[in-house]
Amino acid sequence: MAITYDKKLAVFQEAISIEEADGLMEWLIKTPKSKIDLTQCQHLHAAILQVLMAAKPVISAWPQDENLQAWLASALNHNNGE
Amino acid sequence: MTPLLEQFMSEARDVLQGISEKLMQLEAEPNSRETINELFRLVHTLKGNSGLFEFPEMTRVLHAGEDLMDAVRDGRVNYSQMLADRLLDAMDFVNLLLDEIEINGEIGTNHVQHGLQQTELLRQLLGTATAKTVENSGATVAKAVKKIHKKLPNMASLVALPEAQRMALYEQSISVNTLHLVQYVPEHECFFKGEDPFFQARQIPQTIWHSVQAVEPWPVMAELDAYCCNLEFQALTATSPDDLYELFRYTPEQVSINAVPAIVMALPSGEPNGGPVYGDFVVDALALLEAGDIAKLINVSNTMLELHSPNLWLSSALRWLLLVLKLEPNNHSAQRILIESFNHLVAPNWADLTPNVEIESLEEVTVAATLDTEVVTNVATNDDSFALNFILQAQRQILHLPDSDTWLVGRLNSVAATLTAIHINAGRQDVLPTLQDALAEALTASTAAPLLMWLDDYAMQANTPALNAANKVEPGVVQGKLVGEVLEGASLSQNVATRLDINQNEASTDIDADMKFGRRSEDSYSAPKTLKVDQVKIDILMNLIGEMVVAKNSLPYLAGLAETQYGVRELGREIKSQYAVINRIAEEMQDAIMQVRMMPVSFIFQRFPRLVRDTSRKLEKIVNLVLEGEETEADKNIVEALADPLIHIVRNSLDHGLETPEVRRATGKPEAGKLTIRASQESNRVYIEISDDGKGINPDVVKRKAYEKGIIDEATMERMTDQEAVNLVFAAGFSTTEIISDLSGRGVGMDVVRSAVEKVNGTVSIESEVGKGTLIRLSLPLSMAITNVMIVESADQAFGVPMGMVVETVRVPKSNIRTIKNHKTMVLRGRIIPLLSLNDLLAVDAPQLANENEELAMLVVQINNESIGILVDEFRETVDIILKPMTGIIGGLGGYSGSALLGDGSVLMVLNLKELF
Repeated sequence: MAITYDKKLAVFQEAISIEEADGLMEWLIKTPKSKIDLTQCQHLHAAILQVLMAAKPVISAWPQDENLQAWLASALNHNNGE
Repeated sequence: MTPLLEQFMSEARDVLQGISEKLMQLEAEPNSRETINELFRLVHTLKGNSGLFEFPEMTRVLHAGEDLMDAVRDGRVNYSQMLADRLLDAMDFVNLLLDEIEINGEIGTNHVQHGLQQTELLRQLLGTATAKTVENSGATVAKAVKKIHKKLPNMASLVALPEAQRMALYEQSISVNTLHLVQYVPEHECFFKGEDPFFQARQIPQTIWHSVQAVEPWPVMAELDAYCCNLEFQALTATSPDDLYELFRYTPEQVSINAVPAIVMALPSGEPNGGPVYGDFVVDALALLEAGDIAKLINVSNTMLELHSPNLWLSSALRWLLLVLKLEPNNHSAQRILIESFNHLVAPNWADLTPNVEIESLEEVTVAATLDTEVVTNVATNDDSFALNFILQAQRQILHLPDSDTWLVGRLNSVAATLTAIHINAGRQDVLPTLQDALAEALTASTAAPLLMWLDDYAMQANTPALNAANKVEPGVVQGKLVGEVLEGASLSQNVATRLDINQNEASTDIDADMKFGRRSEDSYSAPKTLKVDQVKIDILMNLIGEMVVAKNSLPYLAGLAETQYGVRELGREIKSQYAVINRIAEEMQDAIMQVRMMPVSFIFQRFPRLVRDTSRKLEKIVNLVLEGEETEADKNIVEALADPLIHIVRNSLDHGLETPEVRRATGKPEAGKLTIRASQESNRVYIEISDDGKGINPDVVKRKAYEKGIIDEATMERMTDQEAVNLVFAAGFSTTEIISDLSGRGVGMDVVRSAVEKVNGTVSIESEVGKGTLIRLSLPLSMAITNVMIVESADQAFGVPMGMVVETVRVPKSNIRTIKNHKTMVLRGRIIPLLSLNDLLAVDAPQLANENEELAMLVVQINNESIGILVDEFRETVDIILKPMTGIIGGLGGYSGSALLGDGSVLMVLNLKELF
C-alpha cells in the first residue's frame, strides 16, 4: 500500500497511483481535519493531486523530493496554515 | 531504417500521390461518390499505417484529414475548393515529414506547431465551416491556438526565489529570451488514456515557478469526480521551446508555450522598515525619468542604496531599478512601475502590464492578416531587413556589370522588377514612380547608371523603416518604436515583437502560401529512392546484356582471325586486351542486372505463418513454424517458381508428417510439432530445407505401395535401399490421392513438386527417418539467366551440356569398353558405368570418332544420383551462355532445353539429357 491510513493521518509513500484515488477520497470524506504526511512521497498521480486540492487536508509534512515539493506547494499551499 | 519503415515510406509516397490525384479528379467532378470514397480510403490507410510508428504529428494531421473526408463522404460537409486546398496542404506537410524521416529517421519537434495548424485548419472545415471563419481563418487560428490562456498569471510567488538568482535569470533572458511560460490544460478524459498530467508537468525541465490550479471551482468532496481531470498546470521555465514541444509532442493542443518578458523577475523583497516613507524619492525619480536624465537617476538611486541597509525592501527595489536601468534603459514603463512601487512597498504585478500587451498584439495581428501591407512593414523583423539589404546589394552588383553586354536591356528590366517587387512587399509603393522613371532613362541611354543612382538615393533615405531597422543593432529598441505607440516600455515590446512574429506566422498561413513550412510543395519534391519498374523492361535489359555477352565473345575469334588469317599479331594482341576490358564491364553489367532481379525469399515465406496456422487448426494439430534465412535472395523467377512447390511440401508435412498431439504424446514427443523452413545460399545456389519432426516415411510401406501400383517390379522392390524407396514418392504416378491418403507416408503430388523445381534447373531431395521426421531439400540456381555449359562435339555438331550435370571428362581406350547384354559399360575406378553414345541418343547414324590413340571421349554425367558415361567425339571449352528456351515448332522437340548464340555467331543447342534417356 502506497498510502497508509492512520486515525487522522495518511502517510504517502513513494509513487501513488491513480488506483488509490477512490480510497483516499473515501477516507478524506469520513475523516475531517485529516492530515497528510508526504515525506516519503516521490510522486502522486494527477488524480490524487486533484483529490487533495479539492479536499484541502492539512499537509503535516512536505515531500523531501524538491521538485515535487515545489509543485505541490503551489497547488496545496493554501492549506498550510498560511 | 527498419524494413517496415522503409515499406511505409514508399507506400506513403504512393498514397500521397494517389490522394493528390483523387483531389484533382474531385476538382473536375466534385460529386463523384466513388472518388470521395476512394479518397477517404487512401487517407484512412495512410493514417492507420502512420500509427504504427511514433509520428504523432503525422498521425494527428492525417486523423483530422480522415475525419474531414468521413464528413464529406456522409454529406455533412460539402466538397469545396478550399477543402481541397487544405487537404493538399496537409498532404504536403505529411510529405515534408516523410522527407525528414528519410533524412533523420525521425520527425523534429519544430513541426509540432505546423502540425497543429494543419490539424486546426482541417478541423475548422469540419465544424462551423461558415463563410466568416473562412474569411478570417488566419486570424481565428492564431486565436484558437492561443485560446487556452491569454493572460499571464500572477507570478508573485516567484519572490520565494533568491534575489540573486532572479537577477541572474533576468540578465540572461534580456539578451536571449529564454523564459517561457508553459500553460498545460489536460483534457478531462486524459486519465482514461493512461496519462498522468502531473507527471508530465513535472518533466518540464529547469522550472523556476510552478502553479497548479483548478479549471472549474472544486465541487464539494462528495460530488468530486476524481477521474475527470480538472487541473491546470503552469510553469515558468528557462528551457528552450524545442524541448518543451518535444515533451508535449503527443498533446500539443493542450499546451501553450509563450515567451515571457524578463521583467517578471523584478520583484523586490525584504523588510519593510516601518512602511512606505520614500514619497520624495519617488517624485524626484519620476521627474528624472520623465526628463530622460537617466544618469542622474542612477546616481540618486545609488546614493539611496548606500544609505540603507541591504536587507530592506527598499534596497531590493533599488537594486532592481538600477539593474533595469542598466539593461533595459528604454523600458520606461517598467522603470516607472518599479519606482511607483516604493510608495506602497508591494512588489509590482507584472501580469497587470503584460496582458494589455498581448491583447493589443492580437488585434494588431488581425489587422496584419487582413490588410497585410503597412502593418507588416512595421513588424518587419531583423531577418527581413537583412534579406532586404542582401537583395539590394545583389542588385547593385548586377548594375555594376559592364554596360556593353548585349543582354543589358534584360538585365535592367529584371533589376527593376526585383526592386519593384521588394518595395511592394515592404509597403513602399510611393517610391515606384521614380523607379519607373529611372528605368526608362536607363533603357533609353543603354546604361545602368540611372538605376544605380536611384538605388543610391534610395539608400540615403534613412527614414525607410525596414532599412532603418537593419541598420540598428538593438532590435528591441527599434521594434519598440514601431509597435510602441501602444505601450511605452520599449523593452517589453521586444517580447511582444517576438510574439507578434509567432502570431503573425500563424495568422497568415492561408494568406501567404509561400511561407508555409518554409518551402513550396513543388520545391520539396524529393526523388523517391525506389523505382517501380515493369518487369518487361528488366527483361529487355536482360536480353540486351545477353546479346552484349555474345557480341563480346566474338572478339577473341576476331583476334584469332587477325593473327592467323591476316598475320597481324600486334592487332590480335590489341584486340585481346580490349576484350579484357569489355569483358569486365559486361560481367559487371550482368551482375548489376541480376541484382535488380533479385528478391528475398521472404516474399513467399510470409504466407506460411497463416497457412500453417489455418491448416493445423483444421487438422487439430499443434505446430510451431520456424522460418529462417528469409533475407536470402534469388532471381525473381526462381522465387516465384518456388511458391507452389513450397506450399505443397508444407501442406504435406502438416497433413502426413506431423502427428496429432495425442499420438505425439504417446511416442514421447512434445505436443507441438515443429516445422522449420530454412533458406540459405551457397555459392551460386539457393537451398531451401523444409523439415518436420513428424513420423517420417516408412520405406517398406512406400515400396509395397509402389509395387502394388506397378511402378516397380518385385525384383526391384527386393533390392531397393531405404533411401531409394523414400525417393519413390517423387515417382510420377505414385501420387494418386486415393492410394496415398490411407498411406502413412507422404506423396501427394510430390512429382509435381519435382517437375516444378526441375523446370528452373533445381533439384529436390528427401531424407526421412521413421519416427524422427522428414527433411526435404530444394536446391535452386540463384539466377536462371546465365547457364554455364560445356561444349561437346558429336557428328560434326556442337552441343552444350549444363555444367551442373557434368561430373568429369575421361578419355577411354576403346579396349576398356565391355558389352554386357548389348549395353556398353566400362569400369571406372572400380565402379561399373553404363555407356551411351550421343549419336545413338540423337539418332545420328554414325559411330563415335576416336582420337589417334584409339581413345573415346567420355563425359560422365550425374542423373538422378546415377553416373552415366556419354560418349562424344570431342570436348571443347565451357562457356557462359544465355539460354533461350525454344519456341515455335521446335518448342515441342524433346531432348533440348534450349539454344544459345555463340561468340562466332553460331547457334549452340543445349541438351536436356534427362529427356534423352
